Amino acid sequence: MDNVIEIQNVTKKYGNTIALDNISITINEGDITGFLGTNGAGKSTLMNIITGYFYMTEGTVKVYGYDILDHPEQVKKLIGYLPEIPPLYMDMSVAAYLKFVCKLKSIPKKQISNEIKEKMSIMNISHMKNRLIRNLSKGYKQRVGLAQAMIGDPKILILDEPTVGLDPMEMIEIRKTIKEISKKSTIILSSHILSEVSALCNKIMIMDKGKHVITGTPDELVNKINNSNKLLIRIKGDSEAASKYISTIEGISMIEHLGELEVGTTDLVIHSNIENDIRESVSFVLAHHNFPLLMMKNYDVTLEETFIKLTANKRGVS
Amino acid sequence: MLTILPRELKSYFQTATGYIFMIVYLMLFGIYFTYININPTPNNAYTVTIENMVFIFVLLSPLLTMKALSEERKNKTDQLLLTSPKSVSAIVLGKFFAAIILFFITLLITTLYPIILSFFGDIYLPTIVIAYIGFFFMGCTFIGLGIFISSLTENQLIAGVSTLGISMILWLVEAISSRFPVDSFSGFIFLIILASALNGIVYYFSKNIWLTMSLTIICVGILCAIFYAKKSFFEGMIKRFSDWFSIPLHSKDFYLGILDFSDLIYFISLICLFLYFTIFAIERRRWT
Repeated sequence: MDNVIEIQNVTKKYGNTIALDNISITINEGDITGFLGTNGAGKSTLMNIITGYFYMTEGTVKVYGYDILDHPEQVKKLIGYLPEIPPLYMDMSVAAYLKFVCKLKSIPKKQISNEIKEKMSIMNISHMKNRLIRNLSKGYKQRVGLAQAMIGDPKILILDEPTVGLDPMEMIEIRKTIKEISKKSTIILSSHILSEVSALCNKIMIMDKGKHVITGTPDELVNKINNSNKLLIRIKGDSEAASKYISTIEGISMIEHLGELEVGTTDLVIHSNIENDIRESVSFVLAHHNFPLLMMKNYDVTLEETFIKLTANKRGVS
Repeated sequence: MLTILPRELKSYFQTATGYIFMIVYLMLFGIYFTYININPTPNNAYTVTIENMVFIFVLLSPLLTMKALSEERKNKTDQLLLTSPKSVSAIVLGKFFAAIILFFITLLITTLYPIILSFFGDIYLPTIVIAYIGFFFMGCTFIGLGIFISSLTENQLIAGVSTLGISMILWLVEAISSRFPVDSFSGFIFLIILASALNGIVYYFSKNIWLTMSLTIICVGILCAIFYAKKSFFEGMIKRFSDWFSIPLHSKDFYLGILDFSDLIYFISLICLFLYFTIFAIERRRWT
């Protein structure tokens, strides 16, 4: 089956507050999908609905064809969930906690021991197995939470802000583990860290104030905003004169002056039509008028800029 | 249920709640036993000790239930339970039976006292066994109530104090009800208010004003017709109604050695009702 999760017209209201407004998305097998949005965008609410923690006010959620409301137990067997705050019992040891989770997920008795060993080894927490969870650091608690979600090798893993509060080394390790897990499972993760989403996900859904803004691959989202080619150049000499000569080239729509980033030079961003490659023409024109060209590279729009632009558009900010 | 139960039972002893409950309860039981059964007193039947200890249990029972579901919500561990393939009823029953087992073990330890007494005199065993049966079912009812209240809040202190408050009302309602007016008009007005309150609940869940209004008119109409035809029906209505909730009234026969099945069914019904309300409260929160 290709469509693993089908979310159709899901709305969630808390009283008069709309937390999710008519969200629809399809997630395919093997995808790593990122829900991206600012705090309060509705990412966690949507995850809580997919996992069956909350129910939606309107709409349908199907997981491997099972409706979450009609077949909650079948759906829950297919999903491993790490909420934003890992659901850990502080009075239990790591091994006892994972054993409890195995029982919750109805893992056969004979397999429990191997399952715990395997997941502790993947998350590198085997040496902590007898420690009480309350005595673990934030990073180790997160690892235990992730191990919990992986118990039973669920076909879908849903991770809500999996690296929040971790130090940079821990973040890198957790991301590496998520990449590894994605070979076996379909993964949904939420984050408000753009670099994380762009590094991990092959599909991104941007949300803002409970509304779906856009869905696509990281490149598709950037291209959606980036409707022109941008070329960054660094030249020596009179930048106004250079701009005048460059603007004579066909297809150029705008030239931005970024200023003097290196002493005695000027950085310019040249906007041109998407189908035109102006690099050769620019270098010829500058050489013809004796302007030394010190640097030339494509000026890519980052996902961060795309995100800001897309969410700003939704809010009516220009 | 069999997954949740052992974890809950262990947690009673990992957080000292279980020890505190057992130590305090058994210590007070010992004091009462010494005072009533060892010292020469006019009415020194062992069932009198049990009857007194029931009230002590009412005071201590919130310890067993106050954190049962409220702490899960506060620590967000309910996300683990509610997103697991286990049903809400299995989770609630697991928690309920864990508290029941702790209560049962405590009660079992107290059976040492009649055994001690039997070495020094004659005891009438059936009366004691029936008293214990009554005590057990009544205790389960208070535990059910506590579990339900614990599902309504994420603050265990609020859960504990509320459980204690409501338990005390159920305990004292018989004493208070003797002060209620017994005339037929008061009974009639009381039933009108009660019907309106019930219809308010209907509106809360259905949000259907026409259904609520129709039901209210039907209820008031029926009550008016009965009042016109047979006023005596409403005499003592407030007392009869409130006494139905009196737990001591439904348990006093047990301490006299009378096994009244209607009282047993009363307690089992209340337990089922509280557990149903608990499941309903959890499920409803997931929708809202």
